[in-house]
Amino acid sequence: MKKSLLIIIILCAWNCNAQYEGFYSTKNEVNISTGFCLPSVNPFSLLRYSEYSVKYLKVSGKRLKSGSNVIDLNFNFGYSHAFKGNFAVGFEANYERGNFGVSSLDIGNGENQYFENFRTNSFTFIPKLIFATKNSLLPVGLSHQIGIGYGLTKVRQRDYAYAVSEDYYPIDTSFPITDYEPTPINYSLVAKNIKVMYELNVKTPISESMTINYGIRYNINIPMGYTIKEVPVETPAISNTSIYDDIKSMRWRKVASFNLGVSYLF
Amino acid sequence: MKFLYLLFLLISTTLSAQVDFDNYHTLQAVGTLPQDFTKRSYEKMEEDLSKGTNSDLSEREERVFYEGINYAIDDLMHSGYVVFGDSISNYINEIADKLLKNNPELRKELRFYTLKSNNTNAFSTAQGIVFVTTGLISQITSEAQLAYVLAHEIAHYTEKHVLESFSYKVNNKQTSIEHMSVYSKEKELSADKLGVQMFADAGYSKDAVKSTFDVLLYSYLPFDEVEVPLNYFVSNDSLYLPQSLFPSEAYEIKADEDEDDSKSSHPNIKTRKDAADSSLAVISQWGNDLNPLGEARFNRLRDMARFEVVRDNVMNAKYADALYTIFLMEKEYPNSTFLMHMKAQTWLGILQYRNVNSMRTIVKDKKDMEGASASIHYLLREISKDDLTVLCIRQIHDLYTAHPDDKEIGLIYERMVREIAFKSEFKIEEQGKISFATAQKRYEAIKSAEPVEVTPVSDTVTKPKSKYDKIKSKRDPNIITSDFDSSNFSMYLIPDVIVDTTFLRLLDTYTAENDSIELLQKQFDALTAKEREKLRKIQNENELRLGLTSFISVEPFILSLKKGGGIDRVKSEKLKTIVNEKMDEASKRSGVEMYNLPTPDASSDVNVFKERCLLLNFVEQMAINDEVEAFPVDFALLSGLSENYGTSKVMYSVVAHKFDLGMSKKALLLSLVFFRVGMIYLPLKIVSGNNLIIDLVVLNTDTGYVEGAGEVALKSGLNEYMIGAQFYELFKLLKSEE
Repeated sequence: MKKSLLIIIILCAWNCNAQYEGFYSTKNEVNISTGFCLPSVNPFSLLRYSEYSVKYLKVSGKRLKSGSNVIDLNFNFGYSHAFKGNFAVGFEANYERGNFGVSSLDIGNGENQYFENFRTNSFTFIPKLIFATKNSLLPVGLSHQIGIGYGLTKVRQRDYAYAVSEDYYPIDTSFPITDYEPTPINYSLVAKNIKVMYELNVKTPISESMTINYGIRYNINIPMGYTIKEVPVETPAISNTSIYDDIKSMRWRKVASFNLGVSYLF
Repeated sequence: MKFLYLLFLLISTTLSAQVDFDNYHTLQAVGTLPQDFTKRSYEKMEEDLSKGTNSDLSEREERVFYEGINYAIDDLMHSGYVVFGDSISNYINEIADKLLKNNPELRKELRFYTLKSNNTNAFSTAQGIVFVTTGLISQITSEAQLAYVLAHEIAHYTEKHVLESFSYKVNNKQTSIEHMSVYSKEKELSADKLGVQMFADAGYSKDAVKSTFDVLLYSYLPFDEVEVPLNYFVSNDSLYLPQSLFPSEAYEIKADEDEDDSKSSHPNIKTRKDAADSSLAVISQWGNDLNPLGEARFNRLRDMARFEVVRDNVMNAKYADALYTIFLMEKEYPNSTFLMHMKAQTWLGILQYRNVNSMRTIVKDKKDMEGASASIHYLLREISKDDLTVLCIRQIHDLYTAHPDDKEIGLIYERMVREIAFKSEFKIEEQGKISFATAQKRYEAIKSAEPVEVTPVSDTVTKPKSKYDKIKSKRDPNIITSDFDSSNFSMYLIPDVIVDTTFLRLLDTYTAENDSIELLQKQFDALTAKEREKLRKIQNENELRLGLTSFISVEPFILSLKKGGGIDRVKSEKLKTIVNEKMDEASKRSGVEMYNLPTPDASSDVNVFKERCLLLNFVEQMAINDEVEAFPVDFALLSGLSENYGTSKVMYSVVAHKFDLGMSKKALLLSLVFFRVGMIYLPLKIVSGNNLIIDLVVLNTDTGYVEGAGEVALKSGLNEYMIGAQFYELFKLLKSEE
């Protein structure tokens, strides 16, 4: 309640700011956008994180095939308020889908257990500062957005396929799926991270109150550990530490994403 | 009854043809706007493309051709320099009627317009438009000469020489200038030949053909050759200019009939004359007409063209030529207010250019001087800076004294005093109080020990002289103690001016203004770098805070620049309508009344077109003379315009867009080779590649001063809402006060 009141007061204060008239008298903007992230194409894959990309396995018919995570989508909802033509403040709520390959398990008898890629859901809240050049009329036009937010990532609950094989590294090969593992990990694991983002965004007006947005965003996800909220019923097949490491590397790979969306100005 | 009607008609025709040279104003369009001016260029282009060229050009080449010619010609049509329906255009059309009386279909295809330019030229276009410059008309000696030029241009059109030349260039991309020249000269000789036949059929005298080539040969010289008498600048006994300031011998005219034309588009005059001899010999039937439309009419129209030459010289800061052409015209039109205004503007312009040390802009180099006009170029080049300042003061003061009630002269006079207070090193105390003639008489009297009564112009009270006064008086030009030095002539040029109350009052006002500006500058210089930067920022922000409630806007120039260079003309033109709409909206929202003068269309009024032309000429003059604050050459007409709209502030704007990655080819290549790193860098460049610039300047038509200027640079595409919003912001700024 207190928080809601605070937000209302802040919004009222922003709207009372009469110094800047805004773009056709609009200073506020809400936007929805979709981001396209290409995890397999990123500069970190040239460094130590490249090793993770080779373990990525996906289901193809009744087999597990090696591949790479081509695209991850994210969905954003944001709000911003322009105080000046070249300065605005906003926030953004972000839901991000992810994929990562899982480390194989040595299950004895010279056999390894290979899992299909795990899916994740991430939720991030990012307050942003938005800057533009001298003659800009925020909320439209080209802007530089800088934000620091807090994000949580969970592995999505799902029956993941696995294969058992004597082969050590299934690179460029495929295995018949042995079975589906209903509870491969502890689903209560929540990885935390601080997200630092920079986005170069362009909002092109298509009317006095609507814009089409596009931009390139760079993220750095700094791991902040993980928590387990519930005591697991069963011992997970893969250790929490291992899953956490995989999530960390996945988050590192999400360096850049291309965003496309629309905004409503008011 | 019929007789009365005829008489009435004759009288009205004569009256309408009369030109008031004493109150002359520059040529302006008359009547309904022809379609050539109102149709959009891309529409003309599409029409032409649908007809095709019937040549060996590919579809793409045809598009390049039609886009090129339509936009180039329409740029000229909308430049403010082309007029229609005026006396000269009507005259040209009547000659064309005569030439094409046997070919009415062709006559319908052709349109003739006057182009206000000092170039001695006429040219036809592939669209069937023939332009004749006022410079050409000022130089010719008969209607028949003009008829021959028109016949030549019509031949170019009928033979499709423009298209053929384009096609030749396309098919011979590697051809040398010499080869291109040979090709072009063939076309010219062919047009000469075909023109002769048309010319003869119209009944003109064959004598005009070869004399037309003489016109062309000497066209780089002013329209007449009359020696300027040494006493031309001597308006009273104050004025004396030593002979050393004039050339000791005449500058020869170097024009050569048989000059090397190996790289020229046109054959030399000898070749053309020789070819004309052959063409003339073939034709047996010749008329005797030199001026069938009347000699008086020809002379009158030529004088109009010559007045235009004077105006063009002033507008383009060719002040030495301006003085010479004024000198030529003054004889016949001594009471012309127009010439008087041009003369005052010329002397003011000379003073201004002298103050910014740009005399090279307004006078020729000695090596380029030729003919009678050389003496004025020589004078302006040889005279010292200080002497020239005083000479300018003298000349403008004389005009002001002779016409104290003339508003324009009054303003020029004020500008002159402002100029010397602000920019000259003029020191009133260094000026002599007696005239040159008086000084000379005194000197001769001292020499011969005969007392001569001297009448000083100033009313100085004589006091007993102290030792110190005596020392000072040695430096006083009133006292002639040594041999009289005629090279010090400027000292005696303005004894009456330096005691003139109006002059002194204005000088005091402007000196005080200048002193306060200098004081502010000193205070500014004393600030820290940070403070100076802050102040500059504020100054820039205030640059457009003009407190305007209304202004005139000349439709913005829209430039959609292509990535590889050049302008996307079609896109730019189509955007004009949208930008105009957005500007109208912005004006209404901001509460600033904007009178927009758009590129004419079918619904346009000729008066709006005329006003637009006037304002385009005005801004061009200001652009040409960007080193100085030039006085508007069409001041009287501009004053009328500002009275009509209730504002003298005119906004000119340019909206330009270019997509530019802002990275070298090498960087682009590296980004692609090292894709994983490049994909971080390259998208940034792509997203920020749009560059939109809106430049605007507000000029005052009453003064010619720049009231404010500003630039908005954005990373944006050519988006109508973005442009509209930016104009809205700019209009709010124009409305606000500093």
